[in-house]
Amino acid sequence: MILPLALCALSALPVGGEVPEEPVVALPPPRASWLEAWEQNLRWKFDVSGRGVFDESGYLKSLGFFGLDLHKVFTSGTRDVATLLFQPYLTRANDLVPTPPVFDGPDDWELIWRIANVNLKLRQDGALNLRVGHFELPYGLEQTLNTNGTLRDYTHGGNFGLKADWGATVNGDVGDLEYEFAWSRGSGNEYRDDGGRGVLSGRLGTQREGAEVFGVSFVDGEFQTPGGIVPRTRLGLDAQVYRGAMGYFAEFSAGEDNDTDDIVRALGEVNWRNTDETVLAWVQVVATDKNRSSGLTSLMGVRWEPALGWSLSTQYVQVLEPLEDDGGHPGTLTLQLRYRF
Amino acid sequence: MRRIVSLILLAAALCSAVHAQAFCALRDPNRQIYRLFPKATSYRSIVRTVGKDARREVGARLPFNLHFNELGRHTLYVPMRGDEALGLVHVRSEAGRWGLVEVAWGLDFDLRVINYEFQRCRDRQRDALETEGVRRRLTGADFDALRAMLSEDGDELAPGRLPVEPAAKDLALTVLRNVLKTIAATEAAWMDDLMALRADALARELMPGAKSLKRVTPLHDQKCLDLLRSRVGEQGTGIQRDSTSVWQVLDRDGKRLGSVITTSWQLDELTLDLICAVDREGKILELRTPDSWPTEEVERLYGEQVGESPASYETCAGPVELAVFELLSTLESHALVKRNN
Repeated sequence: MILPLALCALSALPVGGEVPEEPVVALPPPRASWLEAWEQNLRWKFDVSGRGVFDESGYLKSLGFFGLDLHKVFTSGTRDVATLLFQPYLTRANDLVPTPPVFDGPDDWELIWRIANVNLKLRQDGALNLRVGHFELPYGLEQTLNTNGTLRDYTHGGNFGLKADWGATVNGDVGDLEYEFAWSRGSGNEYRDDGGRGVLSGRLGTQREGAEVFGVSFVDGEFQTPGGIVPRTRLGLDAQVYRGAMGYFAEFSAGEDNDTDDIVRALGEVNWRNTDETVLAWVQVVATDKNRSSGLTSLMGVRWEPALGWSLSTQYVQVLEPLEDDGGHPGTLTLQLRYRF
Repeated sequence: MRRIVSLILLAAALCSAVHAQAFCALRDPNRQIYRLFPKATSYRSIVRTVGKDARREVGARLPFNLHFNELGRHTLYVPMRGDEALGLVHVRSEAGRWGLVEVAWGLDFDLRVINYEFQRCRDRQRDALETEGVRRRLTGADFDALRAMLSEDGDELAPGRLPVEPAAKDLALTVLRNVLKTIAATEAAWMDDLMALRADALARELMPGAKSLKRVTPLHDQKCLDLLRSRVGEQGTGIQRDSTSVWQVLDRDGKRLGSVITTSWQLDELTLDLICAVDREGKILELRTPDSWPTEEVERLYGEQVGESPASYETCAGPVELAVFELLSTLESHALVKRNN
């Protein structure tokens, strides 16, 4: 928190060190109070959502999210110097089995950090920035598509067991390419050190706003898991192709877990959106191969934003072929209601 | 608990603008800013709320309006070369046939189009809107000229105004609606910033060595009001004091070079925005309007004031000269001009 406060103080300083005479006030105001400096270029919202998971026998489990989404641009004189993104979410798990490591049990409250970082502009042309804090691992489709807080998701969970991590990245736009390379602790939600050398990750891709977007990514490092340090490597390719109202996405990953398990994972998605993008529908197929044993999962979902701040989503997941033989896999239906205000 | 609920409801009431998308999806249009303003060395963000008032103002000027998804906190970018503001960049999205179309508009301080760049457009007709012919028509166009490119109801292109193939007419309509909403929303939500930027640009143009501006506030204090009452009477001269701002223009050493005034003048049914540069002796250096002059006669009358310095109520020949006299008297009340009356 020290860095944002320091940046706030910086933007409250007089421009060029000028001391204005009363009653004259310069523009931008050189004598802005801390509060005024903080409110300048600030966005924030509360973000509340509830998610229920059901199968053919009925209710299985649920999650509640109560979060803050805060975005602030720090400006000094004639230029932007940094952007703060701060998203702490108080999360309630009910009957959450299997229980992700971030929770202490199937019924638990936990503070989940979605994103919490400062991105400092090292070059004004956007070619080099330094991000410090908690961020999504720069890898695959997730890097350019915002799925935080939504039911639609990509392969971070399956590949790495985590989506975001603590550390630092260099990132920016160079020509028609964008890049981000990171070192992170491998600890996920919590800032802890159970050993391990951390994780190197990165993605180089074409600009995300194009009709065709391609990227190559890698991860190489040691992740801190409840079972101990797990070395993981991945090399990934991702693609997004937009034609008309349709989007065609693909991601391919290959690598190792524990230096022994060969993992290959492929994801394909076809999606559709309406003209003002208040409705999005998607179908995904995720195929995984682990040491020649294969698994196949299909997902289909819809998100609808019917009114100011409201978002309704549903997703149906069917395991077509289980990766490990652990009994039956009935389809599950997830419903989510989200409100940002 | 009730107190917490009350605080949340209060915060919700204060935070009226809403978006369904999380702020981690926000990205600066780095590349577009430097393409639109190749001489820029940096840029600064100004975040303001495009709220219901802005929506009302946009709706009053156009036969279509901002969609609820377009309300909320938005950023106006000011490209800078050193400490000189070069113009404005405003990115807005518009529902197109194949999803949202995002265009970065480069504007001058009078809100005329300097150039434009698609930030995101997945329509196959995009190239048709980037031809030399279309770019030539849009460059330099102000709100009225752009409005004339649409039919009265805004649902069709006006015949012969924009040279596009029939297949590209839908996208052309989307782009024109987008730029009109961009200009109207910029005027509605960033007017104070716009006034200051206009003042800065005029000062740099007319006062060599101009380095910074200091806004005079409060402007119409008791001393100023007393002087105006004694000079121009209770009724005033049509100068809209609520919308009047004055800046001192300073050189690098803080020495005053002159003043810039932005204001509105109302006579009968005519309302005119004015910007006026005045030297230290009270001589009018320039007097112009960011809009079009309503008649040649008004333009001539104001043009005749350049180089003049009306000295007293009795010597003023007409309403234009009286308005200028009030502005100079306002400066005198703050000791910003020294005249030998």
